[in-house]
Amino acid sequence: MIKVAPAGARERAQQAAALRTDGLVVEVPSAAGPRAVVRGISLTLERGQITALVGETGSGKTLTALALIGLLPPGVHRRVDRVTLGSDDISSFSVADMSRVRGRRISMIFQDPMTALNPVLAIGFQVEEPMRANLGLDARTAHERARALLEQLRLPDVDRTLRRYPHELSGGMRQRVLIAIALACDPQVLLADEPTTALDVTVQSQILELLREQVDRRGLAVLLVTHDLGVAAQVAERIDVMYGGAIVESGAVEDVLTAPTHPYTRGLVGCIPRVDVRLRPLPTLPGSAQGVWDVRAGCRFAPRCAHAIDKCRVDDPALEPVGEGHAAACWVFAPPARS
Amino acid sequence: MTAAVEVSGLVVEYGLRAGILGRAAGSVRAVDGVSFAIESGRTLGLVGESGSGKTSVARAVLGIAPISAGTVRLRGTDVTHATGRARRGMRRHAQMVFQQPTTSLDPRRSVASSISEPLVHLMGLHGGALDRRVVELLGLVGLEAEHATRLPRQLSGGQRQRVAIARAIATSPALVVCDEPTSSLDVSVQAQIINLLVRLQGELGLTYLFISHDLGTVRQIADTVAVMHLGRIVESGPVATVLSAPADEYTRALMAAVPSIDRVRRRTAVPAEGTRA
Repeated sequence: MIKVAPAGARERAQQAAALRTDGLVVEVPSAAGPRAVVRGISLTLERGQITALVGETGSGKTLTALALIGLLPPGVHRRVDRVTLGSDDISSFSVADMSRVRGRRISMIFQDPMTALNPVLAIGFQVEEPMRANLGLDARTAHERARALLEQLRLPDVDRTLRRYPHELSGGMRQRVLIAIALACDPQVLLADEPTTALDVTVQSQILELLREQVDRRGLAVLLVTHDLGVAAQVAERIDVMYGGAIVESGAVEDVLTAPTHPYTRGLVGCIPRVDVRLRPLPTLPGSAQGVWDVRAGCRFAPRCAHAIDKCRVDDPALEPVGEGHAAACWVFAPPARS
Repeated sequence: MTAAVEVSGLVVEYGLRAGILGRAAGSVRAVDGVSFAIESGRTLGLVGESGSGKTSVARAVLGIAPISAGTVRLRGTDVTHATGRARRGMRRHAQMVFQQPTTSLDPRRSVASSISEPLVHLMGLHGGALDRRVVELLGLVGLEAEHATRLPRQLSGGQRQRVAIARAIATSPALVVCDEPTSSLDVSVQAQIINLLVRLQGELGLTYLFISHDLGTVRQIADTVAVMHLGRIVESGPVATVLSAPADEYTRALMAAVPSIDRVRRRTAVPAEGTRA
């Protein structure tokens, strides 16, 4: 049974959020029937903020993003108590309804810009197409807007870039083009799935700065899916840590990273190799994530947890507040307040 | 102390081809006069961005990249232009751990079969001696004898990389080149693999050429570090010195670009109260 947090606290943040979801479940088919790989999570994306969704392979972070924008692979289904985009409830939107929203009000960028771009179409066409299709702009207006957008994203020699093809651009330039396409129709929400993972660190840092700049300038709400806590620390306001299909810790970046509460978050923070000091041996998290097929009862992290008690192996903990705007799902370190 | 590997004035150039007939059309210099030595039992971290030439250096050391100038010595023997029998002998002494264990292991070969290959072909082992060595190697990298019959897809990413490490150290090589061995792994598994490499070095006296773009990982494993940029080494020295007080402008830029959780942005925007319960 999925536990949801008390309703009162959630209602308060109602107005401002660009995107909210409650009780999001994603199920994938298996021989033994559908398995929930995202298990009833709640997310809130605020205008002008970057929320980092951090997790390892198989934690369900990418499926969460795909479920929000309605791009789940065939056979994979979502159930949700509620999704709101601005003031609109889009929980029951059909595929056709979603395709009218996607690109216009909510858009997404992916890890590998080479596969996300069409190799046989010029950059200009690909940036202008969503403006013409979604906003009905004529060719000249779309072209002017595309020029302005690429300039904002500091692509060099904009007129020439618009005529070039994806293979003629560097990885960093391609990712900027992808961001331009995602922002072409001025959406309120951007989902970014590991947008800098394929890039060198110096280019990564430029792209993150650009993203930050666009967020501040447009009041954009961003969900940044990443496995890298360093990336989250650099640009995000909030972090949601996912493990085994659930959010195990959530809060402001400085709270989660300087005072991690959940043993998984603490382990993750502890085992990042540090540049300033050599540790022998490096602290580790024992074992590895069981991935999406883990169906055991109780806390999914319990088998790797040094602090697990009997209750952890039986009951799944829900997020409980551990500080202002900071919550963790752990029987040991975030026990529910006695009522 | 003799150097396990000594590289001097290394130049690697790749030919460029043009047109549908593939006519030679000049060349590009990927490595432009690189020199370094790694003492036996030590680790050199080679850092730089893509295109800096670090992988070309590794390939040249392993004898699989065209060397235009300079020399490569393994345990004092010049192997720069080794061919035939000398080349085979060299293979035993220089092995590699690749970035992606998923692609560096044959998906249809069992763990034991992958680890056996260098033992059979480079060491001439067979029968009971071969089996005993495979089990011993599995133990060294923290796997069980029962893993021997598994296929790569039946293992986790971390376990696969352990198999790749077992295969690389099977022939007791003078040098193990590790090309980003942890970057495809989850953070929680990366530290396990680093600890394994460090432990194996202590137990077996291995020498590593450790290629990485991750300065934190290099800090943890390397004794000395060389920073490459555009085919040249722009800075090198003891890892603690270079990473705590980088002298070169490029090294400083590289370090500034690394996202670190120590530099949490303290933004004025306070999160909405009770955003989540």
